[in-house]
Amino acid sequence: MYNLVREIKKHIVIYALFLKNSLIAQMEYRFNFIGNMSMEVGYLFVKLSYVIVVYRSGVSINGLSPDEILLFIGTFVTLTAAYAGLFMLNNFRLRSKIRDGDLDLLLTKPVSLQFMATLRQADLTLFTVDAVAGLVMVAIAWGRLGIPVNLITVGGYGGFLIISTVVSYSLFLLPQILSFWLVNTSAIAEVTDSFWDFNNMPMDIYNRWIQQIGVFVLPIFVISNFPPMFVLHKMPSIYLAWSALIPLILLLAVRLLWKQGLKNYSSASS
Amino acid sequence: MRWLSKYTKAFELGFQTALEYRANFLLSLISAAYPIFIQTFMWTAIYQNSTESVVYGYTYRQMLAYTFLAGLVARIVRTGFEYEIMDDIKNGRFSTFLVKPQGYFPYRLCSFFGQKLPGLVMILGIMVIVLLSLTAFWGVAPQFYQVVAFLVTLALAVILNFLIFYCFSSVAFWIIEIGFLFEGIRIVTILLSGGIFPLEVFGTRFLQVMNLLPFQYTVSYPINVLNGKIDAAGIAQGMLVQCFWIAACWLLASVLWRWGSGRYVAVGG
Repeated sequence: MYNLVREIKKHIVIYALFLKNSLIAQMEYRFNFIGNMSMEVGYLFVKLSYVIVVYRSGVSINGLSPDEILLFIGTFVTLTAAYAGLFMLNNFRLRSKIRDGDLDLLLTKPVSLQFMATLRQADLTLFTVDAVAGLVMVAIAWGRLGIPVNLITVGGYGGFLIISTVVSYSLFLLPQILSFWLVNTSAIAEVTDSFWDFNNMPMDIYNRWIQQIGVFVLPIFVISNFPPMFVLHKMPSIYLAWSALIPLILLLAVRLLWKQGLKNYSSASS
Repeated sequence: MRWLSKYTKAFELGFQTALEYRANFLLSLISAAYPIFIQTFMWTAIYQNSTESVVYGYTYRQMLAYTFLAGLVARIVRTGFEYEIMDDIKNGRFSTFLVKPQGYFPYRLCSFFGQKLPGLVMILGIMVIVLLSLTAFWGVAPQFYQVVAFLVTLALAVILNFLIFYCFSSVAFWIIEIGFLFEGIRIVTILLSGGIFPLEVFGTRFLQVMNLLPFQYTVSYPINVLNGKIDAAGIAQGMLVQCFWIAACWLLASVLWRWGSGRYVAVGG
């Protein structure tokens, strides 16, 4: 137990260093930093356009008022901060690391290889833009809906955000691990990345079949639907149970596939 | 006609490049299908829950037709050469065009058309299927003159969008690493051109501002020509405005490029 705590502590310290290094690297090319920010602001405008459509139409969509939909979209933008800022870059670079044999050096480090290969790079510009915008949207919706601010609502919402972050890490890493077997998975990366946008609107806009597939088969809807559903008291008990299970299932699947893939890895260096 | 042959070569090269990366193009089409899928469900839910049959000036059928066509038209007019221009300027390849008896603008234009051609054929094929489906299931068929006018406005829209991004790409003379900014500009121009939602969604004041800018003439206007929201007089007037913006952007591009070229520093061996 002591060893486990020590290992976790060590990884947290290293992760903080990764973030610091990423920030230093980004600040070195300042115009890149601004350009990156403007790109994310552009994407943010697109997400906000969905909010405008909903508010200006003034209709409740399948039982969800515009304020409730704002809470869903705000949650989606907040979680985009974690996905685009902390995971996406690593996911995209994993295949080149495997193909070019760049994992060789990482294999020798006394830290988890999966941790090093999948969490080392972060884009804190994307993270900051989306986190600030998303949390502002959530705060506005929260206030307009009169949701009480207490330990249960805020703690529960925060807990579901953590679950969603774990699910997004695992779900979007899974297809990238196929790079251990396939030479070029850029096609898979493109298609799966676009999948993220399915959370742009609440899953209630889709029919029952798509909702069930998106929750239980390909759990994309778990990511940005469960946190607002919890605070809006719209979460069926089966979803509550599933939210406890799905991060564990996905983490286990990622771990097993990673270990299996690693057996297939062959060094490419001289 | 020797002067023409070098540009037909540029066209051929662009065409070959597009064919080389055809799998990429097909995948980008799949990525383009996602927003159409999401918006189709979103509009269906909005119209089902609305007491009005017309929302933002569009009936349900018109809105779905707009959503499908916007996804396809935005893909047709989309550029991408701005990243190549950035590389040319950054890595010093632009120098070769200064000494060759070949203009950079016509070279880029021909190469762009060559790269567009295979995708254009494919997307127009998809568009024909969409239109035939609309006719078969909803009994909504555009008239012949609307189809012809649409094709003309679409061709003008492709040229206009090329010139808009040719203007934007001149910024690479001042800022070397500008790729991310291009992506930001690209996504905002898609939104402003009506490539995601009809511009009426954002209100009349927004529309008034957009009327003063060229963006809507790249996506929103050709679609509204096809779906019958603009009458014959409006179509002719719109084409004239498109021609005006093409001339204005061409003039602006000439000024910007002449100004930018003065700042160019050749780097590389």
